[in-house]
Amino acid sequence: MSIDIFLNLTVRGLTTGAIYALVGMGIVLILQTTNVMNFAQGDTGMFITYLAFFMITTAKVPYSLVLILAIAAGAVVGLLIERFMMRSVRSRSHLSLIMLTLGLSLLFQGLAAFLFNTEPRLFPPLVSGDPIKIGPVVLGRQDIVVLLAAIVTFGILYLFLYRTKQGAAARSISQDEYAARVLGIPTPSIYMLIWAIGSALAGLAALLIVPRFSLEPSFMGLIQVKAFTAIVLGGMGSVFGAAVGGLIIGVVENLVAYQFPAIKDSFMLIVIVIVLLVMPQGLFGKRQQRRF
Amino acid sequence: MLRVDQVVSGYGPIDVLNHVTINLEKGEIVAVLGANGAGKTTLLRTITGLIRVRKGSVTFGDKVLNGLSPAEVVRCGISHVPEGRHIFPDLTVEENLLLAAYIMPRSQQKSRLDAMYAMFSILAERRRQAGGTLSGGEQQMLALARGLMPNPRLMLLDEPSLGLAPKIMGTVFDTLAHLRESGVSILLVEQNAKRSLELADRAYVLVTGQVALEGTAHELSGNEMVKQLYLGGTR
Amino acid sequence: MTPSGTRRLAVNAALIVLVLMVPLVFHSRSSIVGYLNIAMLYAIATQGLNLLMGFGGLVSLGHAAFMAIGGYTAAVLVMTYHVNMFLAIVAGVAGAGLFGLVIGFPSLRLSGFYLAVATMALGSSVADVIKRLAITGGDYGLINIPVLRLGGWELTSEASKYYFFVVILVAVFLVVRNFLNSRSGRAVRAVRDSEMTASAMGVNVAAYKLITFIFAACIAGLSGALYAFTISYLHPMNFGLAFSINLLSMSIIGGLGTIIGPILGALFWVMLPLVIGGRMEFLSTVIFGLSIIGSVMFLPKGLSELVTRIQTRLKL
Repeated sequence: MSIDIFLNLTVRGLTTGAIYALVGMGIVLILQTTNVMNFAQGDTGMFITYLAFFMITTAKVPYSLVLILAIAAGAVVGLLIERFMMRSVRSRSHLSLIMLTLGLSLLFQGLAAFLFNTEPRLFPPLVSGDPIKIGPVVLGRQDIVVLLAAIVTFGILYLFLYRTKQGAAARSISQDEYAARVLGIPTPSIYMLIWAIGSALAGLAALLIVPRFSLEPSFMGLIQVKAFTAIVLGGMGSVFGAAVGGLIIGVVENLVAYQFPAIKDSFMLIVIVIVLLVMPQGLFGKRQQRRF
Repeated sequence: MLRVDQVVSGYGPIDVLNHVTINLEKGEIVAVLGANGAGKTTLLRTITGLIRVRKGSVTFGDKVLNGLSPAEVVRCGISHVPEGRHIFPDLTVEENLLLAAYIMPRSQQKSRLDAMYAMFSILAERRRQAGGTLSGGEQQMLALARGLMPNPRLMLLDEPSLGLAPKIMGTVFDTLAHLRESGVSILLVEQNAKRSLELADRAYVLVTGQVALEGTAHELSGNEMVKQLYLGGTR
Repeated sequence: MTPSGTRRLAVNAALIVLVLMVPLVFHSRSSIVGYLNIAMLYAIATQGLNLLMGFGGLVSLGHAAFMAIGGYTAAVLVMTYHVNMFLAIVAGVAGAGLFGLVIGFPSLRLSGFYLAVATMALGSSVADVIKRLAITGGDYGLINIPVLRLGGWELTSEASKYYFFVVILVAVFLVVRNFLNSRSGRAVRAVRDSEMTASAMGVNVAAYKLITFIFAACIAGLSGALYAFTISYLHPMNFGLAFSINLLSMSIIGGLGTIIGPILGALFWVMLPLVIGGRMEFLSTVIFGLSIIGSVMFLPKGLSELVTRIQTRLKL
């Protein structure tokens, strides 16, 4: 492998990793605060992307407005999920909560296939044009957008969690939900807020990712699996871990795919099982954290 | 000021409190004694709104607390310092304090924070430290300070001396006496009956969810049953 | 005998007759019998999952992998190595059980979400490995798998498969029920309810978790092996994460932790798309999603809870 190829693979891996990071950050945000592992994260985004698709192609709404609408739609979906589903079953077992989100994911897939059929559609990128050359590295413009979006999203989430009182409340709930309630933190509204932010992120992520694939009901499936592996690698504990875990997986996967194409998909999955067994706290998790 | 009137509450199918009636006047320290499982913690949780009132009523001043959420109860001027302290281990001391005044506007939070740092100088020193790194005594101070952050008129304290070394326990009780002088009423649940009767104005004894005895602290200290059950040792 | 006892007997007898009559009733439309056969195979696999999750409290998002291993092992042994079909099926079951042991190991250290992710990863990688191997037909799938044969008797017609599967299904269900009522079964449930209490009572928690995983895997392996010789076609795509989630959905909709849940769930899963019809096939996915949500929120025992309610209503 020449150094140029290595650089290209690495940078492209980073852009793929940014995709996993975007999805993973939303999952981990919801997981940490509300204790729900959201298997519907990907498909929430998928469904919103369909709505965005018809806004762009049929209704000719400007792209930038669609982006805002998609984020807003995600937030609304998140609010509805928390208010009408999660709130009444919060005290159930983890298994029930996982099942609930799996049911949601099927619901979104079914709705998308039923309403819009399963034919793959090409989704226009946010920015088009020739790839950009930086030294020996060649990068598509949309890839750069995704990478930047992941960085900006991480920054915003970080500021939210560490600089706002709602963010501090969310962190306190993840550490000790009972104490948060005793202190008079309005936990139901924090849960709603977190679901809204997490699902808004799902919409944004899917919309930015989709031009690289094609729009079909199943397009978020594998990405979500990778996002899960990213948060496991990052320790399941922090948005930071999810972001870095996503980037690492993107890069390693890309390098492995080049050298050993046969084990491309399984490689990370096996790695993840080893990570879980050898160091369940991941790269950035704490040993003493809430037992899931 | 606080009236708990014929209250029934509990968990799932079980009623833990059975028609409990308790009063507390402004400026009083009232102790609640009782064995494990007698319903002391349940009483505090019911007042705070963590558990629903099934029968009876809880009023504070002229406000009915039945059905209010914990957040709304805090807004009424009641704070609850839970058993076991429940400090957020990964949040800084300052974040722990600020969260306790979640409902307050920023400017007010700031002045309360300064007041807490003035009262508990150790917390001012450790303001940037994670709550989990504090010692047991410091954590109890932080828990008390969290309870005081929203500037409550009534504090519910659940076992504030549990697991503390005797010397630190003394500091805690000194702080409580000091609080009374500043006009905060206290409902105190304590396993250390001797010390809480020394501090309290009046006391109630809960036995299996019912008020078995009530009276001034002085009367109860002289009561034979209380002596035998709760003041037997030095504890 | 009490009146309700008589009535119960009568209903059970009627049910048995009904079950046996099905192939005769749908004699001219054997495709319906074919779908019922698939439903029974799914019901068997789901019973394994039910054992694992409903009774063992262990999450698996890789259950389809057990079916894949059972199916591929049996099919490859028959086709490439010309092993006797019965022995091949046994080998398929054993192979799945062995993999159950492998997947079971993470369960000793992990629980809840962590176990879900680990089984998801292991399960998905099985499909991926099968796709890369030559002996399994790789990405083309394995075609022309011989049809089920018992001694000299070849099960070509859907009706003959139907009766055979009914026997297997009943046998598997009886074995599972007896297991659950045995000492080991009680231990498994004790581990589900509280690991700490169970180990304090002297239950070897690790051993029982592994046993549950192996047992569940064997049942799914059996289902997979039978599936291979029924459909005569295997493709790794059909045993990926999506199918694992389907199996999970069947067990949820049918009712986790109930013995008849898997049958109800699998029947619902296979038959609903038929009832709705091909043109609206994705409407059934919508209904499946809603059914899962509804089960978790309002009917924790799924369809079997409905059945129980009807039974009490009719005083059976």
